[in-house]
Amino acid sequence: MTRSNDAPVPIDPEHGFEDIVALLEALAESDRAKMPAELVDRTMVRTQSLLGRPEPSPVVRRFPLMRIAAVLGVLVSLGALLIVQRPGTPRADASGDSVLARTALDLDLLDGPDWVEDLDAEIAVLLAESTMLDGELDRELADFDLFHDEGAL
Amino acid sequence: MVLATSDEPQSAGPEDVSSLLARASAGDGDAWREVLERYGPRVFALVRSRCHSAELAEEITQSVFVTIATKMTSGQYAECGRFESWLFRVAMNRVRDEARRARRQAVPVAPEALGPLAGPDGTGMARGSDTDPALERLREAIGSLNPQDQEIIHLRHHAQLSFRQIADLLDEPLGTLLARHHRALKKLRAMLSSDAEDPS
Repeated sequence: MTRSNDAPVPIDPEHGFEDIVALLEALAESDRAKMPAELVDRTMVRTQSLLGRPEPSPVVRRFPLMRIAAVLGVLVSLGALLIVQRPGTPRADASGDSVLARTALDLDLLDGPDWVEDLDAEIAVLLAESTMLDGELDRELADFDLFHDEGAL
Repeated sequence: MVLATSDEPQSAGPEDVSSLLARASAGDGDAWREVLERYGPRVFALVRSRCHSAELAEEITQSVFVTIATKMTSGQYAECGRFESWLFRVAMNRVRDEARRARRQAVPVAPEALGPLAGPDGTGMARGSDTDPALERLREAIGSLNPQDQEIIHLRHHAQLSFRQIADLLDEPLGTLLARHHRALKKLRAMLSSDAEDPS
């Protein structure tokens, strides 16, 4: 259905206007050819950062730090292992013996009842001296309190 | 009868374009250069025809492709055979932005003082000069059309879009678009014929 003052529109709107279309194409081609050749290069430069280096994800950004941390961790672990494995280094064993006990056993210090008896005797002497010292200290403190009380008077 | 709406002015097939865009999206520099070389002149010609300034057209063309590259590499564009419609929609939006900016910054000056620099829309944009007088007359005739008809002529011939793509881009029914294009051609012929009869 068309209005009375309009001609029917053909399916090909350019049909019958080939001369105008040819002129339009010539004009468009002329304008396309006017694009400077270096425009592509300049646009490449402006978009290089977008194409060449895609925006890294946060995980990727952290990766170098994580790698450095991992390498440092391995180095520290290796160093600790070397120190511990050095011959003669006291260390705890699976039975739960302390380092000093293991060292003492290695030195045969605990090998013999005489040594144990001597040790018991020494401990007894030390305890007695300690008690005596405590007694002397108590006396000195009592003297001090007495002197302090006299001064106050 | 051949349907004019089915012709695809683009030089490459859709599969070719898809693989090219996929490579460009993945950051392939060679593919991206090919995209620029293939579509750059069409975008430039469209923008230049709309803003009548080669320098401005260069800047806008670069800006359009920066936008396209940003969207493509960030995964915001999914190729589904509508790349050209999208590309030229971005270009047309950028031209409209620039026209609005030019209008805001325009200082009122008498048109006769601007001489040949004064554009028909008062934005102060200079027209491109053509050595061929026939092309110059045609450019002037296109400038006499209403803005909507000019838009269709430029999208059809400078951007080399199919009518279906133009309808998609302008969000208009295909039949309306065909009728408008037909009438625009008719007006151009009438203007050029009257110029030929009255060269003065």
